[in-house]
Amino acid sequence: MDKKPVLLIIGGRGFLGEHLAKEAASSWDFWVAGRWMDSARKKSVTLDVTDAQSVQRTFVRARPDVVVLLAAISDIDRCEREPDLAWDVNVKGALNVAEACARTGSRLIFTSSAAVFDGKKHGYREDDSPNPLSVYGRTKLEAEFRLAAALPSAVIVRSALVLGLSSRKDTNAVLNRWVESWHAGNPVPASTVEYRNPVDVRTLAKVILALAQHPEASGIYHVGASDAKSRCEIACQAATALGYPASWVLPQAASPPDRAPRGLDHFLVAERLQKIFKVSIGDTHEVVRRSLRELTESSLRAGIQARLELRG
Amino acid sequence: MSLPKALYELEFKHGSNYGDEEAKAILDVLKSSAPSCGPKVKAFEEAFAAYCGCPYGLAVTSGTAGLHLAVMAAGVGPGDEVITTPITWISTANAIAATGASVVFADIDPRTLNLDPESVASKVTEKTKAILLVHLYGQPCDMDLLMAIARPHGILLIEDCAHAPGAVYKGRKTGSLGDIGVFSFHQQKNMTTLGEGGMITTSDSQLFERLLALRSLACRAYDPKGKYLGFDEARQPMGKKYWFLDFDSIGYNFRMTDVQAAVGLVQLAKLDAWNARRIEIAAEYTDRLSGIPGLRLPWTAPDVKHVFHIYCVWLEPEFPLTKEDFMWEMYAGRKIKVWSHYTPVYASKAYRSLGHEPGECPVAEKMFRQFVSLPIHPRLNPEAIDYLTRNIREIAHAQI
Repeated sequence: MDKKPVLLIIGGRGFLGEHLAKEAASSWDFWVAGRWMDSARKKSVTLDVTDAQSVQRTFVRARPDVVVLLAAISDIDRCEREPDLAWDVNVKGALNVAEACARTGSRLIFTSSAAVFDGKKHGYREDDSPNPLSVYGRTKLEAEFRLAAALPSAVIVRSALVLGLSSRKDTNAVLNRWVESWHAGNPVPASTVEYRNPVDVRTLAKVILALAQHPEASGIYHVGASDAKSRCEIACQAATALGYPASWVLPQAASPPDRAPRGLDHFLVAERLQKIFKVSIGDTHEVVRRSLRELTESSLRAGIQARLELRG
Repeated sequence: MSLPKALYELEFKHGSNYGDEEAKAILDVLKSSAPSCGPKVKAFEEAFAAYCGCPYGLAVTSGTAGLHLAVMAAGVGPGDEVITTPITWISTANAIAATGASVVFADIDPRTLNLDPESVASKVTEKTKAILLVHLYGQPCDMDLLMAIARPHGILLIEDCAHAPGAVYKGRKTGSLGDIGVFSFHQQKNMTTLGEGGMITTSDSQLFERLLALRSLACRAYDPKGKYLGFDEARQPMGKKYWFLDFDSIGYNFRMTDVQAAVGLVQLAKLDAWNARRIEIAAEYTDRLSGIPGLRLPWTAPDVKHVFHIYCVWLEPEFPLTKEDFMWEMYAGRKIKVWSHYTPVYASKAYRSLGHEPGECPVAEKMFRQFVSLPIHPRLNPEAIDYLTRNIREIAHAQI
């Protein structure tokens, strides 16, 4: 029997990490690393990306063929409040991982963001000039530059909005936040002026694994639906599909003053990816529909299990 | 203060619940001396149990009586906890409280107003003996998730199916989904047995035996006739004492009469058609009331058949009237008696005196401030539906 290739997911406790691990289970021998890992779990490593030695130790243990770097401070508003931390994790951390990959000959897939663009035009291709508006966007762009220099084979995957559900409540999964709010009978605010072409988390995980298995993939890839919708339209579709009234989405034409600046139109053109992999992500409606499939018994069961465990 | 006279209401106006078939069935029973718990009761129990997909049915005097028996048969007593919903008729909680057990209210799903499994899970303790769920308004609860909570902990699931005879969850009828199902045949329900009546269903022979005993004073006889438990003659031979009775414990007389059961058999045969008519009326309401700002309409979960014992709407903040003003305008101004099903049980004096207090279930309280039930029953005619929906649109200042 052939040995499975080794995949190291850094930032595995986030919601994309959770789905990536699920998707990778059948064809990869995978390790999960992150800041607060359950060290009793097999192939689970505690790692701080800002500590080069910690990164190195993890590489020695896991000996990965491919590394997927998800670890980041991805809360855009937090990055604005804590720019030094954002820089340490999102830039220096990424560079530590890229250097370790260069030393061990591992391939690297790095997840970046549409926030590297200013959102002033409709439709961004991979080679369009970036112009980030926020600290978060600047850190991601800087990481992209440094990674490309340190490791020319690195793959960079940019997305505008990732939709999906996490079995855990402390991730940045926007659908979880919406569903929790609706579940409690409360409405959620959503922008009518910020347009995004989303991707559902399972498709994104599959794309990342496909890129990981493709020996010639390198450089930047955009991933997202074939059209862009406002956050408000996306939330309304999710609400009504789940049986909550559309009136539980509160349209917001202006951004609250304490929010980090965000681009208005983040539509990432995903033609490059689609040419290589012949994948069809579909339109935003289809992406939302797919992402809600996750809200099935299994994620609810996980919520219930967590409640029961809390009760001891 | 005198109450306005309503043109349309939830109850039994606009024609009788009964037709010539019921009248004939009653006369037939009268000619056979109209016994209590005789052959018609047995036939009704068998037919109703078969309808639900259960081996056992037990006819009782009311849904309330059925709930009491179900909770007792589950072995609930002082020191135990039973989780239930606050949005229900008080009988549901009373059945628990009457045993001396603690009533634990879990919160509800704002879409269906049924128990929220996640809230139920958060209320489970080592004292939890049962979950008494209600298929509210005729829509089944999320049974898979409630099972996932109950089964690993040996917690019994009792279904209060008072609103939901004939409702279906993933291909199975209510009453067959948990350990015990309890139905009501009160005059307002989807089928009725002369104003009162009820049925218990189960697939568990031991639970059935306990239910059977408790319904009839826990009496044992040598000629039980399906009414009592029989003696084990191997251990206690009859000899000449054919008349001898014994009583295993403190039981009740919650037996149905044959007259009621005869009517129940006829009504059961009509139930599917009546449910279909309720579903049709609900669709008509939804069609005619869609698009009114601030008026939220009912949602039916996938994989269920909702039998619309109640059609509930929610008045959200953008609706021009508060719930109280809307209800009064409908009743006093438009002669349509809408209702509020239900005030959270723990807000009642009875449950406050047991230590319950506002704030226990925030979603239930929030929904209570918004929900209003519109009249729905199979005899509502197109004029009534038109009058009702037109008036709501007028009140909401919406375009007809």
